[in-house]
Amino acid sequence: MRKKEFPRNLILCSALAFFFSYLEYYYVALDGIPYREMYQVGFLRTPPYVLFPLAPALAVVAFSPLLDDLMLRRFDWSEKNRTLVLACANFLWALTLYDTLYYVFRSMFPLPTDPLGGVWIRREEASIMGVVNLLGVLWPTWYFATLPIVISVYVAYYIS
Amino acid sequence: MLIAFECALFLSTLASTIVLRAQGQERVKAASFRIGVVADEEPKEGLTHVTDLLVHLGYPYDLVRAGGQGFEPSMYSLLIIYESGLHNLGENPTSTILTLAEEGANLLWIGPGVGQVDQETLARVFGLNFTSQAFAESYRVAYASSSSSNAKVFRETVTNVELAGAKAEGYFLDSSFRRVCPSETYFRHEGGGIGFFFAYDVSSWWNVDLELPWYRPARLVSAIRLALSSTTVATLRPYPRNLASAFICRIEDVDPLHTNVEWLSRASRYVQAHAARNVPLSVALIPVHVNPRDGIEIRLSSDSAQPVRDWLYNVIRSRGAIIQHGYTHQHGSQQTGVGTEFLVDGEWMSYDDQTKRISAGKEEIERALGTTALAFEAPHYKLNDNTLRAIERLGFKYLLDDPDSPFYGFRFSDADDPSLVAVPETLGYIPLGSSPGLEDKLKKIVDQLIEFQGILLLYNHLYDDEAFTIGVRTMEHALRKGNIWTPNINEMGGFALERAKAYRRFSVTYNSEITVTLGSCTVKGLTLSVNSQEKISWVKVNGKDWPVFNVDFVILPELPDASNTVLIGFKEQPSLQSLSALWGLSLLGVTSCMAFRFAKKAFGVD
Repeated sequence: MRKKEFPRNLILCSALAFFFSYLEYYYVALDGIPYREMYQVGFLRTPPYVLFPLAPALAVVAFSPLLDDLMLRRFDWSEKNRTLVLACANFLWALTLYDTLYYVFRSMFPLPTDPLGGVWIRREEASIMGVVNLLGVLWPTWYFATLPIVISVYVAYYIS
Repeated sequence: MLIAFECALFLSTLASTIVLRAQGQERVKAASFRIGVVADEEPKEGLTHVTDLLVHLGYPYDLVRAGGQGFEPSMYSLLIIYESGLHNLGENPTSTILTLAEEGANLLWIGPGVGQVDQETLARVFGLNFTSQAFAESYRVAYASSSSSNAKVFRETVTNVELAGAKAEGYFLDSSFRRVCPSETYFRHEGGGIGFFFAYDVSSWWNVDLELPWYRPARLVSAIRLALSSTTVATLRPYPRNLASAFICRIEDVDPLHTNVEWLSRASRYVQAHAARNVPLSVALIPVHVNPRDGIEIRLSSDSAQPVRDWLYNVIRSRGAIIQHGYTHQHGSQQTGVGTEFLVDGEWMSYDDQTKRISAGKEEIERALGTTALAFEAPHYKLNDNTLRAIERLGFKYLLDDPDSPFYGFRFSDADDPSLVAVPETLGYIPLGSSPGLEDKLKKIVDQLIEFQGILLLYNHLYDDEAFTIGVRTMEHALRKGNIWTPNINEMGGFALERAKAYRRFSVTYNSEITVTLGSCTVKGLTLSVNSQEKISWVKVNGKDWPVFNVDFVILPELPDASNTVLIGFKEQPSLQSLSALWGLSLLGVTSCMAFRFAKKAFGVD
């Protein structure tokens, strides 16, 4: 991924994550109750619409530079590896941001009809990995796996 | 080697997080919450009202009868006692009442007959002295007054009591609004429970006082809540998603002759005004208009009815629903809309004839609109058992009725499942040439109904612009109260039927946790309301963690099993202890190390 392309892709992924979170919390609702709260089923206790189409849509955007390279038949394998790693990091970042923003909207700008309005993530809502209590605030455990990966990749990219 | 170690550490961290969450928990013993109604077996209007109220507000209850199931006073959190049921309390009801009070039971006495209880018991349990009992007019009683409302007292028996420690929650007034004697009292007896007393039959004469039609159910609900105020209570709320009440607007007596441009224009604006606020309309539709004297018969599917059909399509597109309102809404030589249909000159039409007419109407609606009506309303609400059998046979599920109750009513199939739900009208209609005073009256009634979770059903013929304005303003007033459900009749009926199925197995036991058992329910959003000193901390539905709850209510998912268990906890649940920060930081460290090594390699950093 070229130097200019990386921040552009990162911003695009972040914007899309924001948009999807906003859309999900405020508009994917059943009579004012967010769908995510009433439909607690799905693979890995993840809402089905996250598995498809939201996560694939984020993946397409995150991996677009790689797809771009493939389509333009750029065959620099070293560059392609770098692009792939950065795309993975952007994808993980977008997923984490998307999930976090959902709870930010809920806790700070709740729907008036949401029974969990004003409430940060609950233990029962966490994915199969559960939550970590850090300084009195609950955080999904999977954030502790994705964020270090994302930050490590960005730091390595920066110092390279 | 280092990589292998990191991988092993990473995997063990992951495994630990999952194992920590899967630990079991200890269960505790529990007591039950139920209401007992001590009344005669003979069905009476008052008893029907009380049981409808308890079902609607989602209290588990039993009719306590001698010789029936074993009478165990300790199993009831509240006993509602009528004079007619005293014999169910054993050979010496007074002694039973005293024993119950000593054990800390909450008691609610409704209506006359308290003179049968001896004065000492009456004083100890209800904090009262009995003076006399007679028709209201003999005491010059004209009103019952409480909460700054004065509701009419009719030709009924009232009890004259003196306070002996009890607190008067209301008084009887004479026609000059002077106090006569207490009409309802509240007393915390020595057992710690509450003795609430109504000196008149608060469960009868509903919807008779035109100014305050729902004063009596409001007082009864208030008394039940007060009597249970210090008890742990879990109720099944009448509406989904913790909503406080439900507003439905029904457009009445629409027939194929409603092609008048002025009416259609008003009706279209009415649909728009409601759709803009996401409120659907439910239309009571007469499928065939007849005027035998002029030889007129206009069917809904006829060409001339196209403007009405267009308006009905508009209603349906705006989430509205169609209610079949008879077949022709007349009999004999009358014009449509004038007379009853199934009651002809004091004689009920046979089952076959009723079935034929209703079936013909249903087919006409299906032919004209391509939609199936699931709700039925008998012309002028005149229906008998044959009508009910006919509509059940024809597949109707919801009945619009005027049962003088602000609560759902149910009819049960042979298999004892709820098969038909009756939705009452509670706000009346807007007559031709209504004055603005009607709007204020309707708003007052709306406020009162919302207070005790009654149904808000207004019907409107849209006779004139005043009817339009009053209808829209009443709807807006209801919505301003917030937390109001706005379904069409099919949505409300469908939910009520599913809720009734869940309610049939409803039971509540509690100790440090509350265990609720419910029957199946295919709709999401059933709400359990919990009255407890503590805040809800966790919920399990059929053994699985469920997150949709707040401090005092739980919104439930679909309940797929014939019997479902909801466990509500107030203290931190051991199995759900969140992982400590140490685990999180370990995971963070391990992942960082591995990811950074990998990333450096990928970017060629030494």
